[in-house]
Amino acid sequence: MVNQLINNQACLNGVCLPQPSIDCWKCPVIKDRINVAELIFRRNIAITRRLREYIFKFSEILRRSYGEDYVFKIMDFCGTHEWTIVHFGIRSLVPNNVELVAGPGCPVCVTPSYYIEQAIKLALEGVVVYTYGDVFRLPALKPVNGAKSLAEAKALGADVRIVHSIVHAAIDAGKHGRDSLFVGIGFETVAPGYAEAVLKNLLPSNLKLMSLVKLTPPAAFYSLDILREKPNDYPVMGVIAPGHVSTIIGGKAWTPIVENYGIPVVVAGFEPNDVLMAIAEILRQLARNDIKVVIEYTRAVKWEGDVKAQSSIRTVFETVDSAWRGIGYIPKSGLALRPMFSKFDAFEYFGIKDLTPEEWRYDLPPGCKCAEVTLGKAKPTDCPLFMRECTPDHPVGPCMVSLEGACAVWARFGGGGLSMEIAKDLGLVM
Amino acid sequence: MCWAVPAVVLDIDEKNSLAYVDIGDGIPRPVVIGIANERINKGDLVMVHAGVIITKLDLEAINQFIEEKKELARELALMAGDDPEKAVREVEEEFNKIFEIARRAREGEVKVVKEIW
Amino acid sequence: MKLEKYIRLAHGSGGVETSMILEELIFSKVEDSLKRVGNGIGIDFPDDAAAIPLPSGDYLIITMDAYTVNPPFFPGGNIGILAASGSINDVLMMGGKPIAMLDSIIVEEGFPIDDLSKIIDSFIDTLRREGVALIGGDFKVMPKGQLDKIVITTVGIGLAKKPIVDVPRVGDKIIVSDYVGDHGAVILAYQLGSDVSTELLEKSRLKSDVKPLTKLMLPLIEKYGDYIHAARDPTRGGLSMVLNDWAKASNAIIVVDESSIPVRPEVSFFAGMLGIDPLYLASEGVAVLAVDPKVADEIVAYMHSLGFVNARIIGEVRKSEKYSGYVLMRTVTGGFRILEPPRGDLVPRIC
Repeated sequence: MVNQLINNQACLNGVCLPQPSIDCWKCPVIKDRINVAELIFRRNIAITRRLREYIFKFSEILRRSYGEDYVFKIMDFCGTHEWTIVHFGIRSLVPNNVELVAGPGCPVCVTPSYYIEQAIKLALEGVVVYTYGDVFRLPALKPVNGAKSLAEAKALGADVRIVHSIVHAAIDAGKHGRDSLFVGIGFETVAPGYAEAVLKNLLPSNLKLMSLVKLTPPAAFYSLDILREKPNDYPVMGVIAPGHVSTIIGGKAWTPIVENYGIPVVVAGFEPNDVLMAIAEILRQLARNDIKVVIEYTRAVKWEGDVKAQSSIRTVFETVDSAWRGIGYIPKSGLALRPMFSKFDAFEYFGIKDLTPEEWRYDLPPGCKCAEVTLGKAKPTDCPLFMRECTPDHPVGPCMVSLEGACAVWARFGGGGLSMEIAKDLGLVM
Repeated sequence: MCWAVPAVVLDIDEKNSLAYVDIGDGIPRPVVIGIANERINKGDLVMVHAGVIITKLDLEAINQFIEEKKELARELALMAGDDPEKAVREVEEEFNKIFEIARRAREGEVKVVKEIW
Repeated sequence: MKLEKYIRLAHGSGGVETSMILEELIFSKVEDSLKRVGNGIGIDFPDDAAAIPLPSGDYLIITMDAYTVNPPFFPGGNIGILAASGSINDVLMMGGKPIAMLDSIIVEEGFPIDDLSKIIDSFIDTLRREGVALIGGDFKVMPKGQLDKIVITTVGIGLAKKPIVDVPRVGDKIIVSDYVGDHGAVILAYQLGSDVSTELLEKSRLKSDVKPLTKLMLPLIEKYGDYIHAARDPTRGGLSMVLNDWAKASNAIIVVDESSIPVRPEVSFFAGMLGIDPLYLASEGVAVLAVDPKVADEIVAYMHSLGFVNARIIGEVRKSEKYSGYVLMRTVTGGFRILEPPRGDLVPRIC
């Protein structure tokens, strides 16, 4: 099989993409069109100001009915929402009776140590390992042949290559033909990509997929259950649902939250004004007692999602009970390749035994509160290791590794706290 | 959870569910079409996550965003005892201003973008 | 802090890891009296170059840098221009007028002589245009596979009446001369571009900004030298590293306004795709200055007149009673976040 760049074309498993025919390389319209969304949803202070005004007004109305001290906890499941919130300083824009808490939406943080150990082992045995940057530095619980992460394995001579997509890995692996592993983390969002790559036979025969795909709704319901069991604290009063996962599974996937927990859900985009709009809508629903699932991210998300993507995922993968790092098994929360596609399966090809509920052991380092942080039970600053033993330079737990792990985000951007304190001290905010 | 960026579709290979997209840096990159191929046409604005097209951006839906904001303004005004129609007009004016700026920017006026950026 | 067992790439990426390993392995082992010459500047202070006091009262400015870039040819330049401009700029940022250079070239066996000659031609062209003498050097070849193509090390030498030692003062305005992150973006695009053919990569809108800043800095130093309290070119580690270094050196808070930092849309889109902040990407033809607020607007206008039309004020140095050493960013939405110094490798993320 010819797997190479023939005539400068991108080829995947012998299938070569023709050179794109569009002749307008420097087309200004491309930049323009991408800018429109940015114009309205990001760099638009007028809208930001107006949304803040709504949020403050609704929070005042709620303060009157719930009481002065009541804190409205709003949970964002998606790590990218948490990134938006911290990167743009959203916490400094909302009133003090609104608290934004991060949920379990970081695939890196929740990937069990076991699989990382297996990938390190294969890398050191000479298998080319393809990974997203996120997984690269993720520490396993214990070192494997001297390496605690894929980054360390690379320093020891292993061939670990960072890619930004499975297509990228497929093209690159096709060029050398050596045994290769793709560490396939992600959620429903990336799953249709893996599924299409399998269905259309785009992976070269030397590249095997280790499916570590996790499903979002089961984890969301699980963490809401856990939080309910914590009576001393204020309950989660609203959910900002992940916009990009919802492009695939649809807004409808979140109705169980409204039905079972009676709290508002807003499927939101990832620009700051999207998130502010979602917060405003959640507070509005609470104020009017009009609880439902609302799609704020209408430019990307449909109520039904993408039916074809859902079906290709079902064709290629089966839903399995899956282990979440530091948390344990959550029923029906992962995707494994169906047996008929076993020729793509890394577990099969490399003879990796999959983890079982009996074998799973608590896989966080002692003292690490990553699981609690992931479930929204604790803030990074509640962890005794945070910024003491565990720093971005020397991460102890997975939440400090992933750029979107709540601990890493808080460490880098000062969470909501430190940046606000400094701004106040300088008289930049009241 | 799922980092994604907007991109313009340059070319499509429907048989293999592949496409070339430009995320705005001028480099055509091959990606997998994760969703129904019929939804995607050359020139469309899509969202790309880890080399997978996960949705087509529907800019018409921005109108819906504006409608929702008007609704929000109306409701707040009613609750606060203000004039709801005036609140809605204010929101409309705000967006008209943005669209006007976007239009002038597209016609080549560089300075106007600064007004809201 | 305990040293790790093995060197990782991140140790050389110019961020926090680099500072730490240099401190551990080198700086901590040199006596203070040997960290500089007389009352000059040496490894006792993180700056662009060293300064040695001369009997005449002037200072000799010396800097050294090893240039290794993959690919050696990239849109906007090559490793030759980079090696010349980089050390010229370091001399300039220290307040010096570049006068001479030494180079050490190490090439991998099998490297095309045509390519090498192109690289050296651009290196010498750059020196010629800037009137900088090439006064010595070294040339070595290493066996195939023992070096990644080519490494060029240059020593830049200059003279300064008064070196610019980077200690911004409270009240100073922070100025950048141009769009930031251009060079870092194009290099990263090539390094991560194994899914795209070279031909397609060349169609990119990304282009390195590599250039000597003599035409900007010499007139500026001449006219406003006393008002410039810090000058740095944001190479490895990007604008973020410079601002964080300065926040620490000045014992204050640097407040910057995200919306006024110039980043080209294509750089911002590319960085966006990878989930990387463009403020961590290197520039090779940009100056960052901390200047007296009284003349800040005047300096910006003067920079515009010198052809640097994108120069602008992006922030200022503020005194806080309780905090110091942080860079505080007012985000485009009006919120606040702390701009951390770069850490680790710049790697793409999907989440």
